[in-house]
Amino acid sequence: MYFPTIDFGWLGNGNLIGMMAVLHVMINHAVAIGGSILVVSMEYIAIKRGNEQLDAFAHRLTKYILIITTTVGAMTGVGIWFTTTVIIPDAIGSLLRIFHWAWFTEWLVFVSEVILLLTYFYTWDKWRGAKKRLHFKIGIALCVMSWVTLVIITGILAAQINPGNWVETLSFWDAFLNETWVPSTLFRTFAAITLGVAVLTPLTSLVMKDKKDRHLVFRMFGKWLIVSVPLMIVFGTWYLKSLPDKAQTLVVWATGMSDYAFIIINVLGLLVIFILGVTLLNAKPKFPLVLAIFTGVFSLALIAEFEIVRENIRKPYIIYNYMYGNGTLVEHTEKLKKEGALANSVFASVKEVTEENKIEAGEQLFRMQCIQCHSIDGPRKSRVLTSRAKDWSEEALAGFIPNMHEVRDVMPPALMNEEEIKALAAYIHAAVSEANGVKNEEEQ
Amino acid sequence: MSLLKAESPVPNDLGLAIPGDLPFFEVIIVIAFIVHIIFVNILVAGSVNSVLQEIKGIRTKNIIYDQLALQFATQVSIFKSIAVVMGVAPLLIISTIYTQYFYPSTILIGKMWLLMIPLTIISFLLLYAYKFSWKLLQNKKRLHVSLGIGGALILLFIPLLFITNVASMLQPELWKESRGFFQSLFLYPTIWQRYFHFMAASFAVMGMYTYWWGRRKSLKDTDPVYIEAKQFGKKSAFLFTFLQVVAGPVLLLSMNADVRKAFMGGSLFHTSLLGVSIVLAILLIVILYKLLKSETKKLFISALSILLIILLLMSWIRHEVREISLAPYIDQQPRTEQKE
Repeated sequence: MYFPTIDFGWLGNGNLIGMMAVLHVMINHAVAIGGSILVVSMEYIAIKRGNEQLDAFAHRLTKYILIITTTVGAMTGVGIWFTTTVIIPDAIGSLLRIFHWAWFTEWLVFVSEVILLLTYFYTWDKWRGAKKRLHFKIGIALCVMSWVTLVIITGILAAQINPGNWVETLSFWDAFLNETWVPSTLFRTFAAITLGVAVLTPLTSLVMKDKKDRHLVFRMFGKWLIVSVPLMIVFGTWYLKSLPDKAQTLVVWATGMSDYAFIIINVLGLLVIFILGVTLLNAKPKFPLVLAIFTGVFSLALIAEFEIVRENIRKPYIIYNYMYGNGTLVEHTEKLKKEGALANSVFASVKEVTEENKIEAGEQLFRMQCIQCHSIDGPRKSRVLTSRAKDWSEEALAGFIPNMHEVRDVMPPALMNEEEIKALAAYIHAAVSEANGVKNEEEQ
Repeated sequence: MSLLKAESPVPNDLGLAIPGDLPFFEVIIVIAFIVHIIFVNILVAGSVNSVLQEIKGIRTKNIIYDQLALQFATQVSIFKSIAVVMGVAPLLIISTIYTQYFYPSTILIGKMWLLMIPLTIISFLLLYAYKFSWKLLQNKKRLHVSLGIGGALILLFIPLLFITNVASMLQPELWKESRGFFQSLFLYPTIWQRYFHFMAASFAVMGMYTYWWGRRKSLKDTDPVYIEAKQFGKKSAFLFTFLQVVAGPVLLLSMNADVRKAFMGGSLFHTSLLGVSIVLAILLIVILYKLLKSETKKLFISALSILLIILLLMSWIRHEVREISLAPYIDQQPRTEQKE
């Protein structure tokens, strides 16, 4: 709202953050955390049984963990930060002010995680014999540090939806030690292990030639899985219970599924993963590769679903009760409605709406307060205005915008004056008509 | 309220206070930045040097250059992860204490700024492929070298994004004319001078690192690769440090009048800071020249210590340039600081 704005057009500003975040969480949970735990478990078995071949396999897997986490993993993490800075600077800026020292600590943990991972991989062949125990300990430390990065960042993510007393006290600890943090962290922990197994199982069955070793590895995978899936359900339920009442009611809506589909898909999916766990425990598991691939893909979809839900249920806020999802502050409501949004933004080139600049002013207002979630056209129909505002007249839009937050729980109020609302309606109407007009022509 | 503030191109600071003392943040940012930039120097120059050495190896049919290139590629692949992670702290602090300047300058080149993510990923993957396929592609050198060139070219480009961003954040008066990244490259007057200064530093630091590495290795092993590393290292350290004598003043002269004045006699503190750096740089060149003739531990330790001091002073000067440039804006639009 108070910074320059940027328009990613059809791609959608919100979608861009979402894609970056989902990709990062998939890699972080499945590879960095889940993958490390499983590789270190593999090394443990290899040491216990003196199995050189299994040890070499664990080493090879670590190479891929290293490559993936230090390229796509690390850079999408930075990418979340960059996309949010560019798209919703007010929010990430405020979060950095509240949680600066949490993030600073997170950085120290990152540094140790990277150094441990590099050490773990590059000393594998050098630290043999008496030094092998030390190597294994480095592996354990790596797992702990990867997990601590999750613990800290979850505190911040949980505070966005449930900052407790922070809005009154502005105290870091009030925000960080919120009641959603613990269940959310534990849920993610076991989700990460589940994801790790689900992704590594098809890979192992394809790549690992030696049958005996494969059975050893699968048994270990199975043990992790039958513990993790039930715990994931327990902590997931606790997480839901810890959310603010209003957010709880939005969970199913946030997935875009019906109540029925939501329950069937999630219960069945988890059941299939659990069955995979039981099958893996069998010393000679016979399961079709399709099942393994399905659980891999399904569990990645499950974590994506979790992220989408988390992002949606805190609406209309981005920091609960403090800042709306578009970056406007709750406490600025009256001021912006009275003085206007344009006059309060340094970067708006139009300061006051006139009949001549109406469309231009409307576009700037759209970029200031709507574009964080909506685009004129795009792939996600529930958010794009070519479908949501299709066939709406300019007057109908102007009548709806000031009241939308009362009709739709997830919408923040439009913090602008009456003239600006009319300009915004004019712009949306013109842009939607133009986009839909082009579409109609193409269809004909 | 709107009338007075509308005159400044800078937005109000966020409502929430900066969580700590400014001087404390400033000390951390100067130190954290220098650690980050040393690894970045090695990453950028190392990947370029690796490719150049490999090509030299192919041309001269001398295996030593090929082996030296592989050593560079291996070290680059380790240092790149540290370079990235070390960048988090300075970026975190600059975002927190210079929000009003750094956020607008970032968003104004936002699309290219985000493109940095896929570009870096591609570059790093190429450099991993380059390193891990060294033996595999032994007989397909053309393909192998292209992997390295691809990775290195991207790394030569990415500093321009950072430089444009930090050059832009210091000149809010030019934001109104800013039309995206490529136009900004020629809008802000300090960008190419900064790039030149940074690149010369990268190859000088990499040279020093290479010399140190070759020296340490050749104490235990007489492999000619290590001897070559030492020779190559000290030559590049000397050559590129010498180039800084041109790059530094060129950059200073491109800065705005307030900065130039402060560093050229206007302020005793700033002038001494720069003066000491210049004297040390000349001293470093002399020592590096002597090192070319005769290798003694004493010369090496002195060169390394002086280089590290210069790097620290440069990071400090960089911070002072930022403070001088932003001072009038900060007066007008103060930051939200904690109440005592």
